[in-house]
Amino acid sequence: MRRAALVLALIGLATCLLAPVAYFRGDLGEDAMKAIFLAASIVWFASASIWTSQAR
Amino acid sequence: MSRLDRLTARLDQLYEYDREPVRESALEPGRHFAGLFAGEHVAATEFVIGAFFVLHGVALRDLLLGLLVGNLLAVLSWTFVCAPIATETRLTLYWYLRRIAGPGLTLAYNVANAVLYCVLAGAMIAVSATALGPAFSIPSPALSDTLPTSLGWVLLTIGIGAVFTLFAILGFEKLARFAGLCSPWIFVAFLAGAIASLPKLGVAPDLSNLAEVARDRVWTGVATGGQEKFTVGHVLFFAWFANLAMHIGLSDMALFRYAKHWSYGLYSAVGMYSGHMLAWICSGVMVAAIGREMDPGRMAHEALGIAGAFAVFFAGWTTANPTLYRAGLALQAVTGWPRWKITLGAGALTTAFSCFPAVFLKLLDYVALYGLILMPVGAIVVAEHWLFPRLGLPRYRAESEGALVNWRAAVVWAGTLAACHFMPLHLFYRWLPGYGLALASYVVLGLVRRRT
Repeated sequence: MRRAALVLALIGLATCLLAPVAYFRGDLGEDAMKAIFLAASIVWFASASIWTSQAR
Repeated sequence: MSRLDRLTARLDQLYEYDREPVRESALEPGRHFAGLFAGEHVAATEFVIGAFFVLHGVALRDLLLGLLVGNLLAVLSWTFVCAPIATETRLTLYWYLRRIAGPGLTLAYNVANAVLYCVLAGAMIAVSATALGPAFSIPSPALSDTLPTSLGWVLLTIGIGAVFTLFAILGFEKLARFAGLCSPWIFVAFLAGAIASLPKLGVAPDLSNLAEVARDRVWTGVATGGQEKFTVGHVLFFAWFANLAMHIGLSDMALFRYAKHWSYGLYSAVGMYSGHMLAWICSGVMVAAIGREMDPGRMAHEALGIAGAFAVFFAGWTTANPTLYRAGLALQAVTGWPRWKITLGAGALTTAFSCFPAVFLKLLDYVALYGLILMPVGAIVVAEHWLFPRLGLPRYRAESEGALVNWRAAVVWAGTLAACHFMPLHLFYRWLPGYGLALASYVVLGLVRRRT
């Protein structure tokens, strides 16, 4: 569970970075990029919280 | 027992837990320092500082050279000044300064530090307010504003200040955990915000015109109306002194007393080159994309939407909170109030500062002043730690004589600040001759005392 949370958190963080890259390259619209960034941020906070709470 | 005696005794009680030098078994590995520096130096102020370099008309070449060299000098200051003293003594600055300057002057240092912390936390609250303002149709202050611009702005900063203070009272540890989650995300938000701003600046998807856009549309070398033109010297010195109180001022002895070796000071490079170089560059790109308007909230919102505004808000929150905590700790001894009450007091003071847009719109000058005010203390400690033994001068006389105040240290501190005030130099450059002056005058006073 803890490992899965960490993997998910890292995927969330990577997506936060990849969405603007895709927008910059013209593969994604601005609104879609912002929505993906928001969703990926939520994934990061939720998963990283689980990961750190289980680490304790 | 005089009032000053009582105050210093109370202060000692507060710091009692770290009175003893750190034991060998409590030393931390290098990655611990890398993580700490990476987290601490990507803060809300980064949204303002990088943007200000653009507004001050820094040219691209000056920016890169100034940041590379200035941050290197900061890293070297941690490595060759702060970390060696910390690993030799294994003490916090508080306890080491107490031996050198006496408990009375250490108390004065603590109070000065607390008030400066409150202003800094006030700037963080104001930066957070720019993120939430648009949601309540409250415009951010203009670049020339120093006083509160509207009732809405005042209410917003008071509201944010109240929430930050409440959380600081309820528990520092929980928020510290939340800050740990925030810091990698905030760093990614800086990078993402800059990348998302590139199309608005006309950068081609193959990056072929990146250098041209950076030169012509971001770091143009032309200052925005009313702003002073900055050159490579300004950037270099700013990057060097941005954390002056921590490295040259030695307050990071608290951190490096846990280092296995003084060379761990080099880990500060992780924070400097990610936060004080990359994040400043990113905020510069974001401010250029919104037409050079100093509005951190709008900058991030335009680039990344609502999550961007939250990045600014969280960056302000997570950095204001430990700052409030430290201010409360420093003031607790003076008042003798319980923790909740003094945090409330520090929060109220901080919130009052945050109502004034000057705290973040004059942030560069404030950062310079903050370091300058505390810098002489670092010079006094360096002189007594390294120079006194070489000159055959006795160390820690304040401690051995049981003096409440080392008056030579007090005179050097006040005299250095007075001299810096009258120096015909830009504010950014004054600390360096001031440091030399403090170092030399403290040694001279020590030699004079020996002769007499």
